[in-house]
Amino acid sequence: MRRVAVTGWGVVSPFGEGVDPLMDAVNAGRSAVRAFAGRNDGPWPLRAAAWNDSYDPRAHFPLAQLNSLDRTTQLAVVAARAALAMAGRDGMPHAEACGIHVGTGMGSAGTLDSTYRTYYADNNTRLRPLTVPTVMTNASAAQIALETGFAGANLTYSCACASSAVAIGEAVRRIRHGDAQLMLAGGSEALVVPSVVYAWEALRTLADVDAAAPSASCRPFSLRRSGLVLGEGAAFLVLEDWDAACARGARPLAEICGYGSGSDSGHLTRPTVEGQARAMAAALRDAALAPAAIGYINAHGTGTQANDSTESAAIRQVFGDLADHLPVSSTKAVHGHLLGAAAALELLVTLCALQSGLAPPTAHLDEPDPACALDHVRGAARRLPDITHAMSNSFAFGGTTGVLIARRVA
Amino acid sequence: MDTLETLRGMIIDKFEVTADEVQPQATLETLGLDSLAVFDLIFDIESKFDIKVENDQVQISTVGDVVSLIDRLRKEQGKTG
Repeated sequence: MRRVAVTGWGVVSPFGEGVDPLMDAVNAGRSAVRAFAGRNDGPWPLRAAAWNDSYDPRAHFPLAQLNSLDRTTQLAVVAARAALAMAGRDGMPHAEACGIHVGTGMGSAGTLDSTYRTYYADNNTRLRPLTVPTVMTNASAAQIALETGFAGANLTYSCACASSAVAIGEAVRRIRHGDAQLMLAGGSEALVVPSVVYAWEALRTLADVDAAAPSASCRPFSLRRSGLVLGEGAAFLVLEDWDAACARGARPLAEICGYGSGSDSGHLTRPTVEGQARAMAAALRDAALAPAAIGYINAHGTGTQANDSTESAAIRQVFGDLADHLPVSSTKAVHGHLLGAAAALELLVTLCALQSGLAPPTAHLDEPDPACALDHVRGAARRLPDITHAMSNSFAFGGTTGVLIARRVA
Repeated sequence: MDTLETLRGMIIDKFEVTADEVQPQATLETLGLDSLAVFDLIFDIESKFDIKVENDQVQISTVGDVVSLIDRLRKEQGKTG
């Protein structure tokens, strides 16, 4: 079976564009979460969120093109461009051998929000002509194809918080099976807009704003956790047939060697230990690895009561006593929950941890919940000089699970 | 301001072309507008000139065609003066 190399990556996160601002903050436990009383586009609940206000659309796109690009699509294109630039295009396979997989939870939420406002609030039936191609859930994949000319698979996966784990995992399979030589795979999400934030608020899943320290509002695995914090951004990886990548002179940065996905089939929003454990076990089987091979887990760790205790129990179920000395962290504490882009961004964090031998901490974890008894990396990043493999977990509302395992490249 | 000048300003602002490029004989295609961009421009023209452009009237090629269409519709729809 073909091996799958990562040869490039790109990201737009709440910390800005590029991997360095993201990893500097993640490793330092420095949070982009802020109290958010809203922008000038409608009433907002007072909530914490992690968003990027340094991003300048005009630095990346001509004015005319922005008419048809939701923020979600813009972030996707910018991250995908960066990933391709890193991988280099010399000797790239022919267009039909190159595909695009995108994960997104809610797609073009901002454009939909403003369109509905025009129709319902402004009582105006004159909607922008490009509304449909702008809000279609596959808009990001379509725009990336227009830019790259990639003529292979062009698919959008929407399974809530596991969307980009599945987008990447299925891209790995596509390469392994010889259906593609190169896949640009990742996710994008930009739903910090009034109607969406109110909808999350209504579900009683958003964290309370920590009045004394708003940046510490998201506290995964903590006794004091009160919910998740929404974030926005996009992350993309260039995945390639290992041998073909080497033959064209691309440098493998890591190998994606395991993927497991399934369904909790238990409840619309409440995760199950069994479902999460099945996905981790499936990823280990797929990678032909024993649990002891995993040296770090980037947890789903949303900061909700239900997820964190469930995920901790699932890790215990799969890893047994090994979990006593298996470093785990959730970086959502600092970049928020990017939903459809979460898995891609967190896999990128995981790959950087593998490459540097430095596991980032779970920030704001002064008081771990005894129900989440794991070997938490907290306070400071932890050196893991001998690490060979790491796991990234993503578990979605609706029950879809997605677990990816990466191998360090010496 | 006459129709051409108003339209020229709209096209310059929206599509980042120069005033010299927006001549009556220039085709919308050479200005970089594909069929979707034309729909988007027509949307703004309808607002700006307070007219309604029907689906069978959007087959326009040059800047001059657009000017003629606007002037004709303004007259037909009683929006002159």
